Amino acid sequence: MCCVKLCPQQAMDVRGYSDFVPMGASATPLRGSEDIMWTVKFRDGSIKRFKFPTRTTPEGSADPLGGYATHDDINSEALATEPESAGLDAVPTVK
Amino acid sequence: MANYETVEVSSDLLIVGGGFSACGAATEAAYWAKKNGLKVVMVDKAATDRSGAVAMGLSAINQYVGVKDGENTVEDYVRYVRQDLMGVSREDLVYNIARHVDSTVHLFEKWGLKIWKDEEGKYVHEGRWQLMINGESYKVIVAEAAKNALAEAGGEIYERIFIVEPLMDGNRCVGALGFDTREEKFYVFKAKAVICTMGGAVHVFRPRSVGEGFGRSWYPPFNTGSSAYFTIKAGAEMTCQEVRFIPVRFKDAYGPVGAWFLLFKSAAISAEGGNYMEVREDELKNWAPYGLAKPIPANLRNYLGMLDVDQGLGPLYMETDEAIQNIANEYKDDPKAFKRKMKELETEAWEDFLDMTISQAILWASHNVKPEEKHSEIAACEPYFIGSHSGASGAWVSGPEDMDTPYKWGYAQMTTVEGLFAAGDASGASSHKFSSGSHTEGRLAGKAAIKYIQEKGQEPNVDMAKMEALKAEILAPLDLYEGAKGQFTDPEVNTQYIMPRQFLHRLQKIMDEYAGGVTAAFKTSKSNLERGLELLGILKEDSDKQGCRDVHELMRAWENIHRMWQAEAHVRTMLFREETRWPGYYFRADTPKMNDENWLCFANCRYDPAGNEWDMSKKDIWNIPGV
Repeated sequence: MCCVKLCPQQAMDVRGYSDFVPMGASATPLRGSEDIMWTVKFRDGSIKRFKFPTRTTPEGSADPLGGYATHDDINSEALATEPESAGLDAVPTVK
Repeated sequence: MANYETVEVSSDLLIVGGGFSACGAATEAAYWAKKNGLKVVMVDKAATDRSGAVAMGLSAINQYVGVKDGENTVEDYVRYVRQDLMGVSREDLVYNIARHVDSTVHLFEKWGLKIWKDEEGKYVHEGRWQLMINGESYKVIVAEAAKNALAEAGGEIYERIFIVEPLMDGNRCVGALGFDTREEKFYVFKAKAVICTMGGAVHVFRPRSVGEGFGRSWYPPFNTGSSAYFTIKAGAEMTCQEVRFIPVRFKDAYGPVGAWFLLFKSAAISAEGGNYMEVREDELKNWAPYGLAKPIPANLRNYLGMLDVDQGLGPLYMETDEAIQNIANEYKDDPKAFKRKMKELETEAWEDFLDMTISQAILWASHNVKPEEKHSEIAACEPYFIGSHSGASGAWVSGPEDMDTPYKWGYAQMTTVEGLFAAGDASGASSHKFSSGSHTEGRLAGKAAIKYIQEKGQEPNVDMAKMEALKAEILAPLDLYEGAKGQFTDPEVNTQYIMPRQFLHRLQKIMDEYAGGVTAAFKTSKSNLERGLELLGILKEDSDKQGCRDVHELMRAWENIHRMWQAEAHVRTMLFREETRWPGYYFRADTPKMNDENWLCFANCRYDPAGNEWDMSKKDIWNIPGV
């Protein structure tokens, strides 16, 4: 189904597993760069359409450090972007 | 021998796997590697954008603690996991993940994941720890950050390479062996440290659908026990190998129920209409103190439903119609607001399926299901090995350095094998990590592994003759098939080899019938386990008799062997633990009660590669003081 979602030509169709899914239904995606539209067809012919966002940033733009402050101390418990990325002054520890 | 070119790849750190924990490891390790002039290589069995357990997408983040806003404390999360796992959890590991997980989620949001927010800009919770997301591209986004991090640090990703074996130098893990899933290439990855993040295991037990839907499982079918195999074969001590997970989900397509339970406040009922959580409340006393505290552990909720099924009260249903009616009642004086709310709920319900389990959307559409009119069937799935969720199986890893525990022998997340780290489903006794916590644990392993390389890293010393012998062994199923395929007119029928698909059926039959699968109603016993172990032993003898037509089947053959070792560790540990502690995961009919006096402990196992023997041991549970 990942292939179906990614195919820009809408060249693929799928059906449910034939050993337990009754015939006649389908779910067809149309995926863009920031949202995905679904057409769900029921066995009785009725149709539902949905549109959901998929991401809030341009494709390819994810900055691994998220713009957070980093540090150099490999011996501390803080990961690269912590404590700022946790929204805290320090990494919590057991007292 | 099959004519596979050998490709050697050297790096300082090798990450095997490509899912959430692998991406977390890559993202964090790349930062520290760049600072120290080290090289990181990640090897994925598939294409990283859509690999691992979150390949399809996900409709919620299940671990967010909310420390910065004072929603919960890290200690609250430790208590929650202790309760859900009936007292058995590595609290140092759970604590370590929980104190870092919020920062992971904040990074996800920066990278482009849409997390739902309310009018005040706060995250929308599905439950206490769960956040609602538009997660169709969850994995794509997380993979993107990992790829960007590796690219910036001069690292590399190898996609579509199936890792078969650990590469060892004494008790030190120095790399991995595998093959390309498309071309005739054999890979030797050498490194100074290795992070194992290859997910859990599915299809060790027979799935409910055995025709075309054979591959339909709740957890992704491409998680085939590679982490367990890799760590076991390296000689690592393993923990909680008995703690498999059985989710209760919408039947057959295994669609998620979280939104229905948590967001819509739906009840699960028997065919006669009783809410088994209420009807069977008394049973919970038998599992005190965990049965009497809230939230009721997942395995006990399963168990009460299973008791209904045992008594012929199935099928079980999710009461979607009544849940929606209850919501409608809240709006009975405002039909317009009701209509708006219903539209919103309908969209949420369908997105829950479409983001992560499209098969379930198709199944509902094929049955003309309108959840407001009729309830939908739910059922217990077959057992899975998924230490990141509500199971706990995985390697026994060293704890965080700043905590005073009995579980420290090296660097955080390092197994008992030198230089071999584990995270996500590969690391045990730290359940309820889910997607965000697995990524977090990967980050922890990534940083610790770079520190290890800096302080102790040595050039790998690989015995090339031994490596060539392993290559021949790994490719042997191709040669076996080629040499013997002409015996009969149908190449699938042969007396010298067994087809990988049939071998898988043999494994699943043993596990299903003797180790408490679906058809055994999740029950087993000493005698059943001993018989299962006997049959697994014969299966193991036949495992090098798999015959493979092509590289695809070769991958299947080795996936089967990986599953088979996971199966053996599982059966041995269920046999070792002489009690029933998680009755909704498995029920040992000969020791049907929980026995805190003898068994409130970890059950660990270790395979000794030199002596070809298994050693079983108990390990004490350490509780965080005052928590």
